[in-house]
Amino acid sequence: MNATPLRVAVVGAGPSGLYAVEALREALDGSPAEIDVLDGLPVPYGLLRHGVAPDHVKIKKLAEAFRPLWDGAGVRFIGNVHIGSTLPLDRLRASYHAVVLATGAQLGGTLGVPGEDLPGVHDSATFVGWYNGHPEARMAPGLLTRGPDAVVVGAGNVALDVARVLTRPVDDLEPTDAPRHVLDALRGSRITDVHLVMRRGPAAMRFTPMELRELGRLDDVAVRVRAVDLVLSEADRRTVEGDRRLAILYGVLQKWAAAPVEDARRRIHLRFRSTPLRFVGDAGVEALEIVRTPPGGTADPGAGTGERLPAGLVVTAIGHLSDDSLGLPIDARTRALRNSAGRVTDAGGSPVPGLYTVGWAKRGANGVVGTNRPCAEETVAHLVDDLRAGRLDTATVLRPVDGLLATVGSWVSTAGWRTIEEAELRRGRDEGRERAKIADRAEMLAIANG
Amino acid sequence: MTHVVTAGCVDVLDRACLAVCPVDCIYEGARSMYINPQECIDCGACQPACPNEAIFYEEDVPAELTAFVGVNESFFAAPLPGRDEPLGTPRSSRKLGPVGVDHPHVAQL
Repeated sequence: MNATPLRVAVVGAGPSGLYAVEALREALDGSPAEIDVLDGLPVPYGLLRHGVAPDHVKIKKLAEAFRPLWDGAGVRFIGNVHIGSTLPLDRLRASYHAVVLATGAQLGGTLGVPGEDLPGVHDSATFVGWYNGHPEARMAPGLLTRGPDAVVVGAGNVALDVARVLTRPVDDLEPTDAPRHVLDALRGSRITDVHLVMRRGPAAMRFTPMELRELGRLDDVAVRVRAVDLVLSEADRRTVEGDRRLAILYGVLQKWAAAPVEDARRRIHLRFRSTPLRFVGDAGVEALEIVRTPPGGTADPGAGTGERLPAGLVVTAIGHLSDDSLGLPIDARTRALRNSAGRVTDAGGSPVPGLYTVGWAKRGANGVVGTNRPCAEETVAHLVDDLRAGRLDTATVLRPVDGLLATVGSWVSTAGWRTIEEAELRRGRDEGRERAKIADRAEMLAIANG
Repeated sequence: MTHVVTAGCVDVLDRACLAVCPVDCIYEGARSMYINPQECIDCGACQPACPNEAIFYEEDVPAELTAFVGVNESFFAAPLPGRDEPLGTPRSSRKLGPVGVDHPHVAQL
């Protein structure tokens, strides 16, 4: 291996990027390497910080497992530098032998129905980002006080997260790291009924059993399931019986459907086989019109049997896709960067030398946090193969990255984000909890540079 | 609540669960894997990764396999055969490597 250290940039400091760092350090086994982890935000951890719901405390704690990575020699955090907008990818590549894109999937999927742009309709990236204190995820004030009904569209765990955060007593969230203004807004919420709208039937649920059951355990929240929704076509019955996860989920639904209707302060209504037709409202969303589908059948939007679900707030949780802001081709199937087992490929399908990808940017928006570990290991194995086979350009003299950073304005170092972290821990202690997140970028930068 | 490795793993040891565990809390005995309930963060990654469907969320463990909840727990909480101290919370199965012995309930299967 060469005497000059291998220089690698990992773009994105979420779990997939950090697993790539871990795998790189392991694969290089002590040979000199300098790894810079860049992030558009002043703080690392990506969806662990801004995606995982604040009440999922155990998973949030995974950040602690990543902590030793920053203490390792040769690993730096470079925050508040967005590759693409603040620093073009090509300029970054001139400073590193290899660049690993761990940029995730930033765009929320859209339903493509009329009225989706009405105020009060948000994708899950925005709403989840808001309750997790993402600096750019802002909600218009008063969104939780427009009426007693909210609609969440989606059949995955993110939809469950949103439904749960909207209904669970805010006292349960007080000990978490959610920002103060979020807790205050939730405390003032007038929402009493959340309608979870799913296009397809129970055989298409993407939930994990643990998360679905969690809804049933919330204090003073009733989950309503209609027995008619649980009728399965023969094909669906075979699907459910042949899949352990679906069988467990279906059992949970049956139990809920059979339970006596209890009164509660808030309710979550599971609505299967309900296809969104259009959002209705003038100045803001007031209702979602849906059409119901028979078991095993298809929706007929022209049937005129549209049902109106009132909604002062709508959150669509129907997946994410990677954007093309880096000028790289997007795979039509995975809606992620086009790549071959982690090697980024060009429009012609050939690997772009020295450019790699991990996580959602590589596979599309799927899997849980642990899924990213073998995913990153696969990519890093290819990177190291390329290095050893001489496919990485290690001859050209690299432009020093620090000079480059000086041109992009204020960036945040490892020490800088730790100062932000200390401020969050202090703020938490003052409020009697472990941490209170800071959601304002300017405030974060002032603390980091103070 | 935690995830639990059950009978389906015994003498199979596929180890696919190990690869996806974000906290390295799945440990290798002689004939089976074991999940450390103190270290598991309930992310659920291991469950679909297991080709033998041997891993369950505690609450979903089938009635005939409920003994494995205690098996996983005491693999760490009680001294294993031939040892004086319990394993406790080693914090990383990758660093610890295979433990090499089994819980008596597994050993007698």
